[in-house]
Amino acid sequence: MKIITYLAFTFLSILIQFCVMDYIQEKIQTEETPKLDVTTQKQILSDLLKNISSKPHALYYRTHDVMSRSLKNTSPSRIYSNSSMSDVNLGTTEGTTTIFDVLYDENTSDTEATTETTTEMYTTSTEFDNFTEITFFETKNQSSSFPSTIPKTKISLHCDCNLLYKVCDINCCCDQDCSDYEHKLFQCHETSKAENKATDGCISHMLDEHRYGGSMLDNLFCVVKTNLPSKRSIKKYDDAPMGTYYKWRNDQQKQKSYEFKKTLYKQADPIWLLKNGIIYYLDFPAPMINNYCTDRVPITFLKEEKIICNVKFKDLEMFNILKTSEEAMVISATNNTFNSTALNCTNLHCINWTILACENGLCTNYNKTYNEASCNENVCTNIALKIDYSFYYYDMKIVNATIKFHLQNTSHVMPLLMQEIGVHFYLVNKSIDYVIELSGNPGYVNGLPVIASYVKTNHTDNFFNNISETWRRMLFPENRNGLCVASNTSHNIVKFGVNKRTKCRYIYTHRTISKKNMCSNIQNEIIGLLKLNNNISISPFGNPHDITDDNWINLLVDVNKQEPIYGEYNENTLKLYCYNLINRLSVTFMFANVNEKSYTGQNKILSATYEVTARNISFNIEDISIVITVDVNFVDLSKPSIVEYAGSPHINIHLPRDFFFPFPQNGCFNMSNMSIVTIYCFVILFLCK
Amino acid sequence: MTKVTNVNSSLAYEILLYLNSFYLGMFFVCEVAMGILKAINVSYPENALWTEAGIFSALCLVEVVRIFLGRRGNLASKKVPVFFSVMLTIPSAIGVCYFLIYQTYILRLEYIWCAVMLMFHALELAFAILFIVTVCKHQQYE
Repeated sequence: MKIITYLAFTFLSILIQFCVMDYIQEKIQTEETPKLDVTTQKQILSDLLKNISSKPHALYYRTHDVMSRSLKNTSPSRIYSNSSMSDVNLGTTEGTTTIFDVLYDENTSDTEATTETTTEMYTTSTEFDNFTEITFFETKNQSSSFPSTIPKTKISLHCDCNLLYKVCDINCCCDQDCSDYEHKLFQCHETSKAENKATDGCISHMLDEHRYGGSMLDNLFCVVKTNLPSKRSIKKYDDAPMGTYYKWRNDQQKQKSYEFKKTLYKQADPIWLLKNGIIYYLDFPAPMINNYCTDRVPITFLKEEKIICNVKFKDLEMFNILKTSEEAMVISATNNTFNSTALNCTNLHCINWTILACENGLCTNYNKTYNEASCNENVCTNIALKIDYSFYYYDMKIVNATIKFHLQNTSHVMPLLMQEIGVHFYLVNKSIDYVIELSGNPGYVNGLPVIASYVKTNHTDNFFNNISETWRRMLFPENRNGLCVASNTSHNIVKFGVNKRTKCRYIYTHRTISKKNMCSNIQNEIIGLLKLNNNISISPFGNPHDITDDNWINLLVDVNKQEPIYGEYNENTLKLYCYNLINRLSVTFMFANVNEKSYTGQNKILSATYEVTARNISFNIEDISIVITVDVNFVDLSKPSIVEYAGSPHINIHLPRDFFFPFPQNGCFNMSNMSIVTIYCFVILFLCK
Repeated sequence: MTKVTNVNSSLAYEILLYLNSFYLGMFFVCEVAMGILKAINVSYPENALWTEAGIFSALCLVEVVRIFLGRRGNLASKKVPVFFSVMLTIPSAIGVCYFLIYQTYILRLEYIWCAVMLMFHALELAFAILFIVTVCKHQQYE
């Protein structure tokens, strides 16, 4: 066969290929229904590719290979199968002890406990792998099928964003609690949001596989690797603007003008206020180009905000809010508003502000007499550096608008104060305090509280029926001004993935008790403070729905198994010696990214351990106080415990033995060699000269 | 003195080259199709698509020449064409490795195609070397 024949064959292939591609392209454009009764090879290929084109995830690109069906089989070291979960028993792993060794600083001596500082610090937060999927083929007509036609009776699927129990979550298009109206409100039909819904978990892939009957083709068309260059933000300037003169920026042109359109609230609409018959929008301070509150931006409907900026004392937003809340009401347009000419509370839905004053987590109605800000020479009291807006939208109108002032004392001498303003929206008719918040659905979400139960049985029922949030969370003593405070309003909640060390000083106050029992009393109080005497169970998932009591993880420290506590009092030195006093607690959670049932890539707590440390401590009888340390650690078992790095390159160079003495050892050192050496010496001398 | 060579062409080498010639056609068609598919659906960095197209064209050309020389040398029991065929295996394998490792978007399917192609290369290289050795051994001089 000649080379010409090969070339001809190749060109013929190209010709056929272009014909096929041209045909496919025509088919895609015309969107004809696929014909399944094809007989020719060309048609089979065409139908095959057409099926791919109509399937949104036939071809997809993945940056990290953590979450995928393919990894269910290929990477057992990272993904834990269902069967292996129940047998995992990681009571005292090497990883745990390593962490203890690292985190426990033993610098403080036993006898000098009073010199310890009380702090609260975050160690490291666990990182989670992300994955991105890019759909090769755009799905057609997505807007026509989504969202209004989703039946409410549909089986609840994997929905990461559904975190409020029996309450519609804002912008969560897969939340079954949301009505069709709310879906429309979230603009779920928009392509970007619909794509987010589809790519927020691999369950949609699995559904599509069932529909199209097989995943083999999916895998073949996966982009398994990309070699795209790293993104660089290099702006290419045209030559045209060179030599032209620029004007100062006119910010007024950029400011968006808002107009009250007498319609129901839609996303990105500003929150409207009615003041003396005039309607204007609600705004709040925001930084523009630096950290200072130099700008004001409107609070827009369904947009959660959290802004931190620096401001002078007299410009604190709380003063502005107090004035606004007295004069203005929050309004919502109703169905009658559009046709009415006069805008007042007869044809608008008006509500007054609810202002709460919160101190140390406990909120009460704002009382101007008690909660008004006041200053003396050095300190200003009742200053709200943190403000939370909460808008409750229900039945197509804002039914409640609450402002929470988190009051504290501060110095007005300080030139600038840092204020934090948060805006929250809830689609519910009751306070968010009475809504059960999940910590993931179903796997834990990083940063949300770990779900705990303090009852002996029926943990799941207790979680969904218990009104008090305190009994659904793991609470540890909080550091307030260096002292340990354990109350229902404390905020030292164990959050998933957040490694944290809390140090605070516990002061023993019951001096009337005899010296004999003082050590055991101190111990009992510390145990109560750390809740070591409680039976705590931990939910393996952020959504404890359908989790039986057996699957809840029990946390219990048998304090009686510890070394017995005893003490002695020295009257001469006025010192109390307590031996084996527990003052350190470490809670270690082992979690992994698991695939269970139809869920993929969910964070599951596999085990949790309590470990306490006892020390011998001497107290001055005048000041019986001790620093208590609580460590919370999360260990990701999906990742290797030790990351091994490649060692530095080792070059093993051996010089020959006679490198510096190039004369044979046992050879005859004859005259010729001598003459060569002599010549070398002369040459070197000549060169030196 | 005249050099006389025996007819000792390798059947296995011939079969491999024969199969490879058809596989090359399939590889070419599928890669072009996949390239068009990718060009339509994903965005390429500047000039990357043309670079890959150029490399692919060069690869196919080298492959055609390599197979042609290999078959001709094998059937005629001449070591020189086979030697050049072996030499051309190097750029050809590098080209395939480029598509296996370094091209912008690598599909799983392409992994398979390139792996099969490299397998052909490896086997053909082995048989070609065997063939050259055999030819060199059986050379007779009169």
